[in-house]
Amino acid sequence: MNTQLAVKLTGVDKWYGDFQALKNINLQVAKGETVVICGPSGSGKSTLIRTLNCLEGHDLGEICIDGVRISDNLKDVEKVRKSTGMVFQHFNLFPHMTVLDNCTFGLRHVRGLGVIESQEIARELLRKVQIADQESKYPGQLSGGQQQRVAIARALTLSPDIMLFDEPTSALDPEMISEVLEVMRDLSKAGMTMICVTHEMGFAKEFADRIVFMETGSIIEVSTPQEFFSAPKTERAKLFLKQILSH
Amino acid sequence: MITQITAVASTQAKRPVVRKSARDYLYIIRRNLFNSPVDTIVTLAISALLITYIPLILDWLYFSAVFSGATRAACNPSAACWIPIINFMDYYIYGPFPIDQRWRVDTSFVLGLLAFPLLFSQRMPQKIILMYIFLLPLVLWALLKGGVFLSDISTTALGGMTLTFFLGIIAMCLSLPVAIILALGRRSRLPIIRWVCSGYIELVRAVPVLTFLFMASLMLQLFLPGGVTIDVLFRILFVLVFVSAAYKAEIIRGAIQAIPSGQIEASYAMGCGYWKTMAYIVMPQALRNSVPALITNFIGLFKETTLVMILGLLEVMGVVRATFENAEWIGMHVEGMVLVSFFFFAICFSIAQYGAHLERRIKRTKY
Repeated sequence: MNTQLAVKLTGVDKWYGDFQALKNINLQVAKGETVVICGPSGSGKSTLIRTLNCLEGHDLGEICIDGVRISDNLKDVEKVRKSTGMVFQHFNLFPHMTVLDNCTFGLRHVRGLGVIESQEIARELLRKVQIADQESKYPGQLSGGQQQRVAIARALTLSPDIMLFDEPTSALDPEMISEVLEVMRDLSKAGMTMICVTHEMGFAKEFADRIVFMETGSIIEVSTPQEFFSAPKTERAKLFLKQILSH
Repeated sequence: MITQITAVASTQAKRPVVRKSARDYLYIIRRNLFNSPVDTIVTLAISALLITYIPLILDWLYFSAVFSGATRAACNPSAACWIPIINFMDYYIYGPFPIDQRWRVDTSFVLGLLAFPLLFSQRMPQKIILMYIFLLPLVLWALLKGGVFLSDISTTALGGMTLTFFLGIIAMCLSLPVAIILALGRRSRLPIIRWVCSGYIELVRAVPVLTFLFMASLMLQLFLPGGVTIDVLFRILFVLVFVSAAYKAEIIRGAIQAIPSGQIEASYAMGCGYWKTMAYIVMPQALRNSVPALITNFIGLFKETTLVMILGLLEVMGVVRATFENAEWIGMHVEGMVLVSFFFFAICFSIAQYGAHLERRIKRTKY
């Protein structure tokens, strides 16, 4: 198996009842690569990214994360989840814990580290996302942008090999999008393997190595940002770009 | 105009203080109580009722009531007679507990009441509080029933407030963990566990507690091999715990369902397993959301302990009634019931206050 591959999907299918959410997905992501998945709503972007850390199961095909083949085996599921960090559209911070506790939770209960060591690691990451001064607040006291930065720090605490972003800026006020994108830029520059579902075409243009365009459960185009934005191969992508960029 | 606005903006605007004058109070009274002819009539009628009855009630309870004396002859027939209550107070508190062993009851009262400041304290680590709550039933059993380190006390020797307290505290402490397990079981992905828990909850909810108590006291013996007996106290506790757990399980299940699925996903995404996710993410939030309903359930459970009277156990209501079967004091039930009401009110109101305290505390961490 190619060790340079972080993610490898071969012929992945998924159904919700009679509705086919993913159709024959083939995708390979190399280590250190930043891949942006875009497409109209309902095209299966979120479903795809959620199958990568087993929040959704898939019905057919094979998904390998860091060389581990996803199966029903709980051990594999746990391994995959530990090697991936996920950032959600609605942050999903734990409201009953302070910012610091949110970030030490995984270290203490998944990694089994002590309180002091976990706090040191968590504080370091909170500093990285520039929110260290808010550590004793509860998530509800922070703005959306701040919460999403905490969520990114929380996902990074377990030092994942791959970061998954599921529309990280869609629930934010326009003025807060840039602070979150900035953190994502830093991560991408630092060589993190990233898979982002996002409508932020600016980010895609600047930092994506490849753009994956999806429609009705299939990948219909994979190209570099230059190609994608200047000369999209498919009509559907052209229409999508026209609509998203003109507004 | 513009300068005025900037002036306001630059100095922090203070909220104006309005002092109410006597005139304002008069206005408020008039607006709320005498706004229309109907209002006026209702206000006057209620005032008249209060003015007539409050003095009568106070007079009966206290001013004309008799507190000391030895026989019924000392009583005032038109007012409360507290003589038997005062004379029998020891019996009400300890029941027929052996007098030389009463320190055991006192200790368990102290231990039980100690749970309150512990629950209210914010500095005490939660682990210690949880430990205390889980150990309390065992310690109470050992103290009041004995059999392990201390001499065994027969079940018939437990009575009065001691028994009510014993049943109430143990049932309250044990029913919550059982309820949590049932609630999780009903949401389990494994069909067998789900069916068993659902079936159990539906069955228990649909049958009156009294039926279960009778069954526990009469029917159980039929199914046990000859010679084996389970103490009636144990059987009653079993019924109280498992019946109220079914109700609590439904309260908790509702609260779990109200938690956004993203919470569980976020925890799973970090590689956290089912039990840790439930213990650290779901349950803390679910229990916080169900405090008002759970407190109501606890209060109901505590009052339900009076039902054991039917099985011949003399809890507080039983001992009080018993004294008024006494030839000397026969028929003076009202005073006894006033005492019992007061006893239950004091305890249940304290539980309610604890609930209110919890809600205030939770509010502080929730925005």
